[in-house]
This record gives sequence, C-alpha cells and structure tokens, in this order.
Amino acid sequence: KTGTLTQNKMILRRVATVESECAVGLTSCSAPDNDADFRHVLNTMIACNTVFVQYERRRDFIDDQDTPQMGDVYSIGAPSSYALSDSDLADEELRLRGFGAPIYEGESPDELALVKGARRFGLHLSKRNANSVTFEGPDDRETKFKVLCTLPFDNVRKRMSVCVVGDRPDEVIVYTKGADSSMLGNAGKRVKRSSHRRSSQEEDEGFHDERPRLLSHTQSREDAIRARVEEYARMGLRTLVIGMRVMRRPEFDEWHRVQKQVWISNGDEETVKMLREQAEAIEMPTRVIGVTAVEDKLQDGVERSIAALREAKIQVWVLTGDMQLTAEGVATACGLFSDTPVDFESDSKETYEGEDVVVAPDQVSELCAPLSSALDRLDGCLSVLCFRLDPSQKAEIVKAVMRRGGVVAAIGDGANDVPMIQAAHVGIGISGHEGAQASMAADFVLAQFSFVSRLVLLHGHWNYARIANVMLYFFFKNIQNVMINFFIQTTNGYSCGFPINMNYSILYPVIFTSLQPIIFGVMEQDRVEKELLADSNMYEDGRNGTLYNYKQFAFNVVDAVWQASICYLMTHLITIDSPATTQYLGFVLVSAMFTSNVAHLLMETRCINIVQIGVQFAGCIVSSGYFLLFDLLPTDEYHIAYDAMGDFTFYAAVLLATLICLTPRFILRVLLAADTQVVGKEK
Amino acid sequence: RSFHPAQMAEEEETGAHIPIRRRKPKNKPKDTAWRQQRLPAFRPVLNAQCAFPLTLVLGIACSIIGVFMYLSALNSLEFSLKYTNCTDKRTNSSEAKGDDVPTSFIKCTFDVELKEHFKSPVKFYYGLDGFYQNTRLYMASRSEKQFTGDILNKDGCSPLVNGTDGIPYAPCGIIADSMFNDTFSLTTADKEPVPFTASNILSSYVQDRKFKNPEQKSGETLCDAFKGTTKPPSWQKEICMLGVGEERESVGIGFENIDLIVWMRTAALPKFRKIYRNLDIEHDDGKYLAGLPAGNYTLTIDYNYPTAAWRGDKYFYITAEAWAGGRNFPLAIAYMVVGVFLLLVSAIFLLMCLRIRFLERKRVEAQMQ
Repeated sequence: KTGTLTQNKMILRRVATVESECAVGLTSCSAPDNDADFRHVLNTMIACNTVFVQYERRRDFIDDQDTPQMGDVYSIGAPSSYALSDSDLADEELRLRGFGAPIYEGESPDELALVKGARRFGLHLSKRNANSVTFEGPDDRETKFKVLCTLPFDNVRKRMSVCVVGDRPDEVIVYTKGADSSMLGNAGKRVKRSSHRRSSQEEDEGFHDERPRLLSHTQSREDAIRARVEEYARMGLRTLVIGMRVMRRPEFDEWHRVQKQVWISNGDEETVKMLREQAEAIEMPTRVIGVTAVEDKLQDGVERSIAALREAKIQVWVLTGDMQLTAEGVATACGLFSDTPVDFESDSKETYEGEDVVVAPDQVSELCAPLSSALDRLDGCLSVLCFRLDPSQKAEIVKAVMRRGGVVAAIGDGANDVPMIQAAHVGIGISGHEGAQASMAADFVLAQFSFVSRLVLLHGHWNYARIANVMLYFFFKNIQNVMINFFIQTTNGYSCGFPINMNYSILYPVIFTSLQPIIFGVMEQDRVEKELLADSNMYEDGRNGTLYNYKQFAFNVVDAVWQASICYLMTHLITIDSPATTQYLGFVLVSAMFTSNVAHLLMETRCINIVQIGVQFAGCIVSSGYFLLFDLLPTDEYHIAYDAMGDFTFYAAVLLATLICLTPRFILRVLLAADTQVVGKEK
Repeated sequence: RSFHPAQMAEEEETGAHIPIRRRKPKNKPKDTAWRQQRLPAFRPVLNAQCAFPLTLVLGIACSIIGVFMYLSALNSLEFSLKYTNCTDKRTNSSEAKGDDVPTSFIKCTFDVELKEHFKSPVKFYYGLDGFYQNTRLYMASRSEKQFTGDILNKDGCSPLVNGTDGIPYAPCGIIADSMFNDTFSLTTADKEPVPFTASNILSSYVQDRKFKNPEQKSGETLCDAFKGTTKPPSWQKEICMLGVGEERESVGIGFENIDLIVWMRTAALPKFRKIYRNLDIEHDDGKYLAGLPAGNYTLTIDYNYPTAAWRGDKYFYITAEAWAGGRNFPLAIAYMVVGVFLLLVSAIFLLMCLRIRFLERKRVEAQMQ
C-alpha cells in the first residue's frame, strides 16, 4: 500500500495553472504576475479546506494527566463548522495575549500541505470560523472571505467546495478541489450535459479573462491540466485539481435556499443523495483553473528494505487505493519498478517472467477467480502493482494468493487495510498517522516500513530456525528415550522390565530436560544479525524449508536410534559380567542419555550465551541432585547413584557414550558446512 | 510577525510543527543486552578449521585414556573357572548325568594354579550366565519391608507368598527363593584353608538400613523371632539358620546374611557375577597381607544350585583389581578405537582445511591475474 511506504507527511511541491507552473522548493515563491488563475488557485488552497488555526501549541488530548483549563479554551482547536461562536471576542483575546505564529491543524494532511504551501507564496491563513476565512497577504494586508456555504468531501463526488463572496458583493465564487477523475473529463460531463451552455456563458461573464472565449477552449484547458496531472503523478506526487465557478448572487441564493431545506430534513439515505445532487448542481460545471501537487515523502530506508526483500526472492505486491500514476510513481521511487512495467492482461496466455506487472482494477476479479490460472502466470514476475482497489479487493487478492499456496504477509497502515491484514498469514501494521485500526488487527506492529526487512529477514529467519530446530530436537529426544527403552528389552527377555528410576523417567521431559530446549528456542540465533541483514539470500532457508523437512526429520530419527543404541551399548559393556545391579544399569543409562542430550543441544546451539550455559548447568545439577536425594530413600536404588559417582568406570562409560553419540552428527555437520564453504568461496 | 521561508520549509520537512506528546513512553522495552537479545555469546562455527583442533584433542585424549585403561586391565588379574555340571570325583555324580541337585550333595574339587601373585585386595566371585535377574516380574517379587524385620509383611511377594499350609514364607518372593547357595572353599597345597571374609563386601549403609532381623526378646533365639514363618520352597535351611557355621567369615545370620543381601540386589544383565568373599588379610598372622601368592590351590565347591531349570552356566572367579576397576578390556578397547577414529577424522579435517586454503589461494591468484 502506498501510504505504508510514505511518511504521510505532505509537502507542497508544485502549483500550476494552464499557463504557468511554480515549483515549490526551500525558498519562498512568488505567484507569477498577470495570471489571474494562479491567484484563484492560491485562494482555493487557503479557503477550500477544513484546516483551523490556533496560536498556541495544542495540548495533547491523549495526555490524561493534563486536562484542559479554562484558559486553554481558545487553544483547543475546532474545525470551521463548529468553531467558536463569538469570533470577535476570541480575536480580542488573541491580541491581548500576544500569541506567536499560528499552528495549523486539520483532519487531512493534504489540506494542511496546501495551507502551509500557501505560506510560501506569502499567504498566511490567520483565522477561520464558520462564516469567514481571514488570511494575510505578503504585505500584511488582511483579506477576509465571507464563506456562504461549505460542501464537505464525500467518496462519491471526491471533491469539496466552498462558496465565498467574491470581489464584487453580487458575485459568488465556488472554489472546488478534487481528484482528477472527478474534476476532469467524463466525470464532469454527466452533469454538464444539461447545463453546459448556460454555465460556460456565466463563467466567462463573471470572470474577466482576456483569452478567446471559445467552447472548445474548455476542452483544451482540461487537456493542459490533465497533462500536468499526469506529469506530476509520474513523479510520485499526489495531485488535486482545482476549479472555480462564478455565480450571480440571486442564482446562488436560490440554490442555497433549497440546500438549506435539504440540510434540515432527516439524515436518511435519500437526504444524503439529495445533498450530493445539490452539491453537484453548484459545483458543476466548473472551470478548471489549476492543479496542485503534494509530495508524500518516502519513509527512510524504504528502498533498501524493499530491495532486501526482493533479494530474498520475496515477491512484493503493492495493493493501493491510489490512482495508477501516483502508485506507479511511488513504486518507481521506492525502487520496486526498475523497468517500465507491463500491464496485466487476464485473457492472454503470456507469463510475466522477470517483469514488473501492473494490474488494473477491472482485472482484479479475474485474477482472484477461484479456478483462474491468472495467478500462475504471475509466478515469476518481480513485483505486482494493483491500483484503485477498495479494501475488500485487497483482501480478495490476498486470499487468492493464499489459496494458490502462497505465504502472504500483508503490510498496511490504515483502516482500509484491515481486511487485507486479517486475511493474510502474517499481518503487519505500520502505526503511523492513520489511526490505530491497522495496528490493532495486525500480528506485528512496526513504526516504519523499513523495519519490515528486519522483521522478515532477521526475526523471520531466527524464529523459523528456532522452531525448526526445537521441533527436531524434541522428536529426536523422545525417539531416543523410547528406543533406549526398547534396547533394554533385548536383554531382559522382553519382559517390559524397566531398570530406570520411574519418577526420573516420568519427569525427564517435564523437569530435567524442559528448560534447556525452551531457552534454546527463545535465545538461539543460528546466524549473526549482521550476516542475515547483509545477505538476504540466507532467508531462503525459511522459504525453501531447508531446516525442517522430511530429510531432516529422517536424519534425526536415524540419529535418535543411533544415540539410543550407543547409550545402551556402553552401559551394557560395563555392566555385562559384572557385579552391577539392575538399578546401577538404569542410572548409567539415564546419565548417558542426559549428558548426550545436553551435549547434543549445546552442539546444535550456534549462540551459546551465559543464559544457555546457566540453564544447562542448572539442568545437570538438578538431574544429579535428584538422584543423590532419591538415594537416601531405602528403596531398591539405595545409594546406587552415590556409589556410581565415586566410580571411574561410570564416568568413563558416560563420557565415551556421549562422545560416540555425537560424533556422526558432528562429522556430518562439518562435511556439509565444508561444501557450502567451498561453494560460497567459489562464488 | 516574521516568517522566514527557509525556516518554515525546514520546519515542514522535519515535522517540528507536529505537537509533541508529553506523556512518557509506556511499555517501552529497555535497551539492554538481555531484553534485546544481544547478550555476548560464544558462536562456534562447525567447519573443518574449527573442528580439527577439537577432534584432534579428543582423539588424543581418548587414545590416552584407552591405553591407560588397557594397562590397568592388564594389571588386574583374574582366574575364572566354569564349573557347570562338574563331577564329584568320589561319587562320580554330576548334574549332567541326571543326579538331583542338591539332594545328591555333589562336591567338586578343582586344582587352581595361580601363575602370578594376586595383590590385595583379592576378591572371590561367583558368576551366572543366562540367569535373568532383570526380568520384570522376577525383580518385583520381593518385600522390602519384610527385610527390615517386619517378618509377616509380604507386600509384592506374589507369587511366592504363603506355603502350602498357609504359613508365610520368610523371606518371601521369587528372588529370595532362587537364592544361589553353592559354597566355595580354597585350600593351599599344604591343605590349609585360605581365609575368606565377608566383611567389607557391602557398604555398611546398605547392610544396616535395609536388612534387619526381627527383634529378639530376651532369652529368645533368632528362630523364635522368625516363628510363624516358613522357609521358601527351594531352600534347604530355615532363614534363622542361614549363615550359621560361617561365623568366622562374619557373613551374618538370617536377613543380615551377606549372601542373601548380595543376591537380593538383582543383577543388571543375564550374565553377571556376584561377590562371594574377600581374602581375609588379617587372618593367619598377616600371611596374606600382600595378597594371594602364586602357586597351586584346591577349590572345593558344594554344588547345591541346580542349573538344569534355567540351562545356564556357573563360574567362579578370583580377581585382583587395579585402579580402573577390573579387567574391563571392552571399554578400554572402545576408548582406543574411538581415539584412533577421531585422529583419522582430524586428519581428514586437516586435509579439508588445506583444500579450502588451496582453493582460496587459487582464487586470489586468479583475481590477481
């Protein structure tokens, strides 16, 4: 998702009209002279939003120890629609208290970017309430717009507008800003059909434009704007198209009367629809006057992170609600697209080996169809970009890939990513400026996208290796335990005789060898952090399942039988034709088993730290301590362990058993490591 | 009021305008080595370079231990005699011929020639081969409590609990019933008996805590104390008579009899040996203080223990053990084999190291060119 990759910190980069363009950099800009449109664009940037102004750093609402005081009342911001009723009093207060620079706050970062961007042109929004917008020009001259009506943004129109009293009191200017799709071309035409002729006349009449007033002029003007929009989108900027319409007061009043009636009536669906129609009636047709482009900067390290993920042969899909060009711009900026992307065609047969693929929204249903082979064709591609998706489509795609056997991690930051995060195997939330919904739904929450590579490549690998090794070790340990029991039977007439201390045997996996593998499973680091982060290829262990598979399982089963037989054989060797008692045999046997288990785990541990050593040491103490305590009871095993521990043969046998047990595994490990070492060096 | 554009731009880019949350961060994990899994650790790498010194050291260590154990085993002397189905030279009777044991009272004599001087401590063992004392039901058939003096306690003695007349066995259970009862005596060429002792065979704690005769009231004999019990079916003696006549060897009587205690400690494997007696070095004016001298001896065995039922073999051993505990050749040889094997492995690892170094050098040379 594109918002996931960016900082959600918008900065105005371009303001353009049909005729002129202004790049906003680090220095102040001046509006081009003799371009009236530009002034209107700036006016729209200032007025057409819900940004509110305050003169003291707002107290943090989340700070519960710090409830607002009476004196703070002016500093608690409120959007224009429910601003303070007595604005003059507020003004007075502000003047008396001598507040510093204004601070802008608003719901939408885009709007904030526009208001702040306007400051670069010397226009400072200084006050806003329900009925007016005041701003200061470059020469500290205050301008006050009387706001007659605000038409808020909605998802169908994808625009918002304000109606202000223009330069002449009998004029009303409707400033509109919105997505290119809703402002340009087809989207507008639906309304235009009925009112085009009349409105264009009006528009021309009201606004004094020196250029020829031709009907086709609207068309070419739109083309010019569209060209700019596309250019900016390709740069990865988010564009807004700005339009204006000038009306006569009586006409507006007529409309406003109807609007108020609709506004007052019940808030059912019908009303919402009527309100929308009302809004469209006044917004359209609009004269497209300009375009603003806001940069949403990429987060730090996004490129590096994505590069690392792709080096690990993870296919990266971008599922975004943004428009195609913006999405492609972001994808290129973050290094996802190295070459010109290819459009996905659901009805063709070609495969997209090694390509970057762009999937149009109308292809998504085809892609996600349960029996479709479309996904197979995306198998070898480098990356996939799907744009203009709604939340359910994102989840659909995730489910389709999972159905095909893919392992999916979904990364998102907004509420609209929640379905996708919940559908995926692993949900990762970026806790950013877009609320906590994604973080609440996710399995992992990160502060920045760049940590994803660390999460996947480092912790992903570690945890896979830990789980794989602990599982194998448990299988191994239990099979060895059972096989020892079996080998005992071969020399006691298969009578189910059990010379090992019963309690010890029962508690063996629960107490005596429980903490060691658990700590191993928590603290093991099979490779060093630096190594894993530097070389993404190491992630393939997990992707290919090299650490836990049938081969590894079989190897461990065979090793378990081998170690069990060695433990038994060594014990047999020192007890056959000797005065040893059955209980002595049992004690030597479990001692050999315990030491070989401990040594085995230590041999498998690639990161032997103080905790692991401590736990292993404690295990040895607890285990031998148990026997020495049990020795004190006058049972069959009275003093067996005590006697054995003073006996050279006991130590000799246990040590040799441990040594022989581990030798094959050790040699095999070294030989396999040597292979990779040589191959690695030759690379 | 002045707004410097560059300052504004910087503020916007760095996000300094965003209100700072004043609350202290909660749940923030501490940046410690323990919490962040950055504990210093030993990270062994399993490759030939690292493995080579390890296998070399282990190989050498194992070889040395093996050689020492082998020498120790060579120094331990052992005389062994298999006397199954031996023939009584006077009556010419033998178990192999179908003579009933023990009612035929077979008494075998063997000439024992000790070629070397057996240094103290000299121990005498009997051994059985093919006797499964480690079978589950056999091992279970005993009463621990009875041996501590509670003679009527028969817990766990099934199937040998009571005699035909309902009188409980003392000791009860199969282990006790199957007690080994051949007796051995060794005489020198001058027909003088070699002094045996049963003291120091078992550690006193086993003897004292686990095996106690029932309490005798004043004026009572041990047999009175055992009243109300009967001898196990295979026994020839009553329990109170066990060890009577061997007081000189301090074997103990009744439940405290050393032979009984030794037998009750079930053997690990079907081929086992059990201690019979030690050489009594204090007897005969210290004649045997240095051990058993080389020479000819005569071994007399009272052949009381039948083998026909379990089709096994009986042995008699005279041993003089060195420091590493008996003639344990198999373990010594195992150590040597493992040691040599590890040395061979080290050699292979060394070759691998050299190969890797060679390849490395070649690669570097190739790069140079």
